[in-house]
Amino acid sequence: MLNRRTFVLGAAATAAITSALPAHAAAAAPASGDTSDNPGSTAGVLLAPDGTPLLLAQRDGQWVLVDETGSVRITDGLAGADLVDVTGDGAAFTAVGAVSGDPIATIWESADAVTWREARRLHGVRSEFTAVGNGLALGSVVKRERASVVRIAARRTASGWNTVPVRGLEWTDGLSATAVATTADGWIAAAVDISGTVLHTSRDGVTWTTRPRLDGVAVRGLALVDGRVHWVGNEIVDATPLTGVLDADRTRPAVPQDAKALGVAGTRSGWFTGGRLITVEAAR
Amino acid sequence: MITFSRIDGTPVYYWRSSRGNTTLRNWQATQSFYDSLVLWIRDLRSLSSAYGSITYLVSAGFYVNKPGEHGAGTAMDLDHVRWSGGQVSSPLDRDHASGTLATRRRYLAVDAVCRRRFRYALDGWYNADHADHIHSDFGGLPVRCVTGSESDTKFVQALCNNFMSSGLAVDGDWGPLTQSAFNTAKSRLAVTGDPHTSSAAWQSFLSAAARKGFANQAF
Repeated sequence: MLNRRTFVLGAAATAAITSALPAHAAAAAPASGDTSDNPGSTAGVLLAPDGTPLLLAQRDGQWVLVDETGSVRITDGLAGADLVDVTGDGAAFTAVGAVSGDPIATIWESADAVTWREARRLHGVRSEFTAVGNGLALGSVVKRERASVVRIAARRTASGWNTVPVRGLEWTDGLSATAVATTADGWIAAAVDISGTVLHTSRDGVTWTTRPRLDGVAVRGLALVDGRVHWVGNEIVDATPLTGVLDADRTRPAVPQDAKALGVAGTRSGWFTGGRLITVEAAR
Repeated sequence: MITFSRIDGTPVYYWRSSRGNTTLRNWQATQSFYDSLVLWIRDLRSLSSAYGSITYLVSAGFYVNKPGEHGAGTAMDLDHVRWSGGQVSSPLDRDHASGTLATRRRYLAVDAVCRRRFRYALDGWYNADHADHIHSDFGGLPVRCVTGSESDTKFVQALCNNFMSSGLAVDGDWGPLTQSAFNTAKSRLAVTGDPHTSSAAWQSFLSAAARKGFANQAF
């Protein structure tokens, strides 16, 4: 439905956004496929209350929801947010990241994905949350240069979001979580290092056990579909889109070569390509 | 985002899965970050011209789908530099901890050139996660020497130790001993201005240090 806060991102709007970007130096660039889209300005994909997959992304300094047709809706309550991940099942939504500036890890919640409220902020320490899924947020205390120092976690309980200890991830304290999801008996979390993805599982969200790593791929989304843990991501080199099932083969999804994995919403994986959201069945 | 296989004509290889591999790869970064990489490699060529041309670079990644500057396409992980004269500098081989002074000085020279264009350069002294590459990104610009920065402080401390035998603890804390050694280095490198507030002064300091590093000369 279109209303005063909804508009379609047509050619004129795209041109306006593009023209607002700073001009770059005209240094020699043997580049190809140059576009003004940047996956760094996206938080991820979620399922709207009506089941529509939506991209939560930043446009002109505002966080907006974009569907696969390009229809854009401006959100409320996310001013000053530096979002990194989002999740939602159609009834409840959680976004994580940090308050802009000197980062302070923060969690936002919403009942409709449009109007958000701050649910928890970790005062007193430079930090950020980088992954959220099914009531568990993972992040890091970070240095001035945003390098991770130590992992942190928060659990959603009836009383709200509370920090919990993290055990078994110490050897990955220098990494930031990139995805977290429930499994049949707990959670699974991913973090990307210099050459691939490290995976850990936990029954309680506190004590974590190392699983075999996924070399050569940066996992950005995890989801339990039909009893199996599916992942989506991009190769470290070439950024080729990839999907796979834990402990099974990896495959090339039917998405453009330049598509960047955003995560999984419901049974569909979300991808960012050409400045737009596309989704495909996660199990393919 | 743009796709590139070379920076200003110099090929960039990937060795993490196969050392010595010279297959051209399709790296990605934003246009503005690529433009800075062009300026960076031109600095590197100029300051290391005694080694000949740069034959190739090896990287562990530019755009990588993860949070932060890599995910924004505004970061580089540098593994290795090879010159036509046969010289190499190899963060991948932890050259910062080499037992050979000339190797450490060359690493610091490359490190210094990174810092001329990138405010956040994370090296082998910064933490264990950067022991095998030098990370450079767009965060925190403009470039300058910030005494509250662990990255900048450890770099200055390592620099003073390796070029002036200052005997500083490389601990990231900018105390009076570090300040004194930095003042001496600035004087010996004939740098005017304040590198803490002036990008030009800091870049002059870094260029002078890099020249000494590539020449394996104390200062």
